[in-house]
Amino acid sequence: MENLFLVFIALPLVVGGAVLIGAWLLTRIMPGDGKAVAAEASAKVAVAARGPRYDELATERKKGNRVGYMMLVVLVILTVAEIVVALALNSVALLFIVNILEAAAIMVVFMHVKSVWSSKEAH
Amino acid sequence: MAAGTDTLHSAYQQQTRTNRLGFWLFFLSEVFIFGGLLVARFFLWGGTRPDLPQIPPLILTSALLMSSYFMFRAEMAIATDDRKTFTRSLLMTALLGSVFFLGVVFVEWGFTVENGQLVLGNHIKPTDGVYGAVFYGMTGLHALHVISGVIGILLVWNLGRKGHFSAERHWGVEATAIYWHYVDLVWVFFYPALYLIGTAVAHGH
Repeated sequence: MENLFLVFIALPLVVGGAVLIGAWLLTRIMPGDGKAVAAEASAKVAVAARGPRYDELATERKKGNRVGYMMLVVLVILTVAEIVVALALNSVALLFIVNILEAAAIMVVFMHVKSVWSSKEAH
Repeated sequence: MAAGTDTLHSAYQQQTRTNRLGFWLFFLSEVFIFGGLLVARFFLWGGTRPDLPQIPPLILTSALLMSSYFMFRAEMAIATDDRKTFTRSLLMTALLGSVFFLGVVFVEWGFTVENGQLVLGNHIKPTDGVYGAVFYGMTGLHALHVISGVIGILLVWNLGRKGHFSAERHWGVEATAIYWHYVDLVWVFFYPALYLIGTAVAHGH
């Protein structure tokens, strides 16, 4: 029972946490919003150079990044839930529901399924 | 001049809409392929599964989830004209995708190099009855999609590096991103089917 807890509940939580921390660290070492504070001064100078849509695009970018983080958190939570449901609760039906939720989230947010009916770009 | 630009933009939008619809139809056909493999798994394995190590697939799943996040980030970046984040996020996606692929080949399949030759190693082999056949069929077809996705991402990265895409025109990026997320979506179903559902039994028969 201890092993079951360790492998299927504690480990996914540790790995899930590591994924989130890893993603956060990776975004910190990459340019973009990660270095937003340090780059604030030069960004103000760049506004004039980048044209009138700069503010609009910057807002869109921030919004998009937030959505991306939230999706990553949701996917990690659902994956952990998947493991717990399958191995601790041993329920295939419940697991199928979690799978469907995960797939729906990916299709709507990442794959922009709604844009199939749209003539615009995905964003 | 402005009217000409508008006409071109409208034509591009129309083309993008057609491309998108065609791409989703392609995914529909892929659903039948992967769905067939899932049906085979439940038909042949039933309420059992091969007794495989749990930690490596969990790590590989994490890598694939993170790669999906970076792909989304790349797509958002090009849509907002942030080219540095775009190219670097694409490289991160390709790197994590490669980690997944190599993990499947060298950890899940257990390939090792012996006397300069690539040989199948430890746990489960394609000849291990229904367990081996289904396991290698499912992971193999998925890995094929992963590696083709990585190649696509690297092609888009190269084009993006040369300034091929813009905030207004980036269908190539969108298509590659959708494909990559589709690969992730397939794994969402394959991972529990291969490693979580059913009672673990010794394979090799």
